[in-house]
Amino acid sequence: MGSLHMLMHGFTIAGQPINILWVTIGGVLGTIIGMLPGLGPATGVAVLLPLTFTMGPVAALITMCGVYYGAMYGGSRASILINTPGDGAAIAATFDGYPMAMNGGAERALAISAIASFIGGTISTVLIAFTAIPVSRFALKFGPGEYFLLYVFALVATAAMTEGSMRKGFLSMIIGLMIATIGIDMQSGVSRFTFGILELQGGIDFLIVIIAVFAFGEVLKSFRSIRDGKKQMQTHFGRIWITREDWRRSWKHILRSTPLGFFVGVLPGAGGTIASLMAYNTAKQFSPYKDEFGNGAIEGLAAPEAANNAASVGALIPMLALGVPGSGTTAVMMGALLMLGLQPGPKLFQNQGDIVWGLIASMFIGNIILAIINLPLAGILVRVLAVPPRILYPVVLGLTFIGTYAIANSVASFYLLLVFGIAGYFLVKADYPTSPLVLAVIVGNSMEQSFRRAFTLSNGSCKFLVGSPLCIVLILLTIGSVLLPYVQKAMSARNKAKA
Amino acid sequence: MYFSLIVTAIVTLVGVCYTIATFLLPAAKIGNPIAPKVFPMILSVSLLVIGISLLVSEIQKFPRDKEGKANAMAEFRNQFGKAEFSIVLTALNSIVYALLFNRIGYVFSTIIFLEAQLMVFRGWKTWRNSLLIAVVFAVVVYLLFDYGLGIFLPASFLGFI
Amino acid sequence: MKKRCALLATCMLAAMSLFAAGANERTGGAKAAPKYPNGNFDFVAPAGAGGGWDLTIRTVAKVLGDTKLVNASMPVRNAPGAGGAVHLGTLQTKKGDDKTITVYSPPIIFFNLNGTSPYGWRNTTPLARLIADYAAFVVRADSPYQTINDVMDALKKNPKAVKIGGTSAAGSMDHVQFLIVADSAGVKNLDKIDYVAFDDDGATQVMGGHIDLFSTSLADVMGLVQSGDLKCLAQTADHRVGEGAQHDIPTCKEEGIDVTFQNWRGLFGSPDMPDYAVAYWRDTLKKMVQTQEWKDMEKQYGWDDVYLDKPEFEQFLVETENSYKDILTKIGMI
Repeated sequence: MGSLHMLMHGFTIAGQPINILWVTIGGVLGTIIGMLPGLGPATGVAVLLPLTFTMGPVAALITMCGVYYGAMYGGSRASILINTPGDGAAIAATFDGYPMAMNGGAERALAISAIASFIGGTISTVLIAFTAIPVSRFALKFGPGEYFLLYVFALVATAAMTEGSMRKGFLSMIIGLMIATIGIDMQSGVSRFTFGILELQGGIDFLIVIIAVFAFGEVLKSFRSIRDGKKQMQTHFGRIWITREDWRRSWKHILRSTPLGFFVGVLPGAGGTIASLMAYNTAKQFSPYKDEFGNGAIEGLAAPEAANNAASVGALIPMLALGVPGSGTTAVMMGALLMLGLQPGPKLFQNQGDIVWGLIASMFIGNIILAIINLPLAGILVRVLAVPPRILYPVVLGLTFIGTYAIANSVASFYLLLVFGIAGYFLVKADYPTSPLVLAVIVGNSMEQSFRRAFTLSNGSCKFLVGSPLCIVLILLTIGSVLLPYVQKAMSARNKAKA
Repeated sequence: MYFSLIVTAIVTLVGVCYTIATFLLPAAKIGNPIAPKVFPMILSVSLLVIGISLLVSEIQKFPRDKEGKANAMAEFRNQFGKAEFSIVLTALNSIVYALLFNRIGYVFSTIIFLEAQLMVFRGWKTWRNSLLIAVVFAVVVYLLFDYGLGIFLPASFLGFI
Repeated sequence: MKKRCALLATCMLAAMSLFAAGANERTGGAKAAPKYPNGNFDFVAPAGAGGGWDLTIRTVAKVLGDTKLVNASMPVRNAPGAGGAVHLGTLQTKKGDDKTITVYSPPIIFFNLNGTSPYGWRNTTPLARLIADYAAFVVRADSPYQTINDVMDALKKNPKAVKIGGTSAAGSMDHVQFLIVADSAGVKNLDKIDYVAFDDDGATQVMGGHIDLFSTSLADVMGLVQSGDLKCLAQTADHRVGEGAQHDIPTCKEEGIDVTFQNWRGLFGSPDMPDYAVAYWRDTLKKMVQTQEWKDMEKQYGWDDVYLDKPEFEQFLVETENSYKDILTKIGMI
């Protein structure tokens, strides 16, 4: 009862017209920032940081929430329309979202993405209001061993799920892991594979690899597809909405992905990328339209979008309940809390109830407002497809460079972009899947470091692999994800034999 | 088919280089001295094993008869055409861009880069329209980043842009 | 064509709205002084947004702006990478620059000594030491170690008995600050003590019982100490700091370990910063630390005022460098 009462109180704070205005402004700004490659929610919130000095704490947090959500919407817009994810969490939206847009389904893709995000975000806001404290306590059970196995599971499932040769999927994954070992090794302080280049000491930013493989690679691919006449510009645009059939196919996946995203999002560090990829993999496993995945299956877009937004809400839990930022974005938000004179942590809920519940309520309101403004906004954005490809792709190329510059602040990143872009292009041409590579670059370092931590903490043995029930569950899931394609194949073979 | 083989061979070769680099890594001064090498070593071995096994099965799949060989060869040649030439141009253009970026500032280097890139895509006849697009893009992005986002891009000798 | 125009127009509109948002930040700094400063400063936090360095330099920028001590705009930029070493490398390409102001703390000495970076504080222009935070050693509330001496006794018997965690790389601050204390307490085999480096979630790891002790800075864990989830065994100042729960934390000296460790933060300019710029900043920072605004911010974040002007600061850097060198030699890092 306490929570509900506090939440109602929160609504009276967040529902003030001025705060609603702030959410709306933040949402629009965030959408624009999120659409630029390389600029995701973390940058968006950081840009706003100076403004928070002049606002009150509640208004500042509410605006930041708007930007946070807006940037996530913007990221998926760019993923769907130009194959350019703004951050890791938006990658999964390219898998089926971009093919949908290419096949003339851009309106439906944008609509389902907004709807799935809205549902995912709203349900998770309810979850956070009632479960923040217990969930934050449960997340403490994740030690280095559990993290390691979680990363292994996400990676192996993605590599095993990819179409075509499984060996190519694993090779792609290993290359990604190799890229992730570049830089300073935290556990020993040794510089690895940097060849004396100072820029490489901090490691290769995974965002650069994402932009290179997806956006840059797509531009390179477009030379051939334009020549073959496969890339046509779209001249007629329909209403931004989905069909009854789309909804029938998607709703279960949205509801399944939401709690998944929420709980994975709570884990510090794992965050949105893993959540959306796990949701995608699960949707693929459960969908009767498995063959359509990768070619524009609507549930392949709905599932990761719901998980993505749910994870972004979940990521606030460690910050609010423990005072530990779980992601880049929440680190910036926590910085803002500190600047406003608030001490995040378990006491925040008691001492600063107004702010916490105002924040939760404003997330609720922000979700609604963003869904509302995003439908007409999508109607404008979709017209990017009306730009002739011969003009659109050079411009996208210009955006990829500016995006990488914004990430690394150095021209050295241009060469990285070029190398990874071309390498990615040739891998795709030779039927290598690139998503395992990109995912491996994102989680590779954390995965190795988690393993090393666990190894040290168990005095140099691998006992930690079976150290807790959670570990065993994760191991079983990993084995299952490798075997599942074979089992399904055998089952369908037997069914055919019977028929 | 041949193309995939070449890419797999390159991937395996990268694996060999990585393995050598792993052996050359310095030992850790604290903790277990080989600790930083273990994970890269696991990666090296897995890549070499999978890569070589893939190479072998790709070679086994090669057509043996004359006609099949000719088809595979034609398919391979088809991988290199005008589109791939455009990729080379794009790469060169990007390198020039990187070299000019800090020297003449964001706006001017981007105008040159984008104009050249638009020509790669559209041909040189439309250069006037391309130039307009390039200038508008460069200026809008510069203003957006410098004034809106507080991310400072290199300015030219003019100072203000 | 019409559609393209519409798209372009939306882009322009978006740019303008952002422009308007950005203009807010810049008001107050539009009029530049005749000679120096001319134009914007480039304030850099060599780590991601939200961390200690970021907070410090943003606070400096805010106070200087609010008190009108500096009449130029001071936008803050984040340049993360390798615990600050990447930015120090970039700084070397800006020799003689008078606009870049950046913040560093003990890691600028550590990553040079332990070989991570070929550059150290000598490759910058130190301007002033401003504030200090202190090391804090925290355990779970129900930990078997209830005093810092319990930890040290256990380590004396078996250096593997207590697993230490921190959020900087091995051989950098969180690791070394613990070893300095352990060394003073008479623990041998410092190089045998297990240290595990986490990215940013060390506090959850000690709460979850995955590590035994978390070596961090005082300001970072106060929320969990106040709520009673974590217990802070000791801090490394030479006096009690703060108020309330923070004030109750004993110093190492009180616990019988005669040692202090200061997580100082200071401002640095590019290498070979011109004299007029150095003079300007020494003067400005001297004025800043005396303002009420600055004192209020220090109080809010629980920072100790340890202001030192350039000459004394450089002297201090030489001294600390020597003491860090001793401990790194003992554990075999150098």
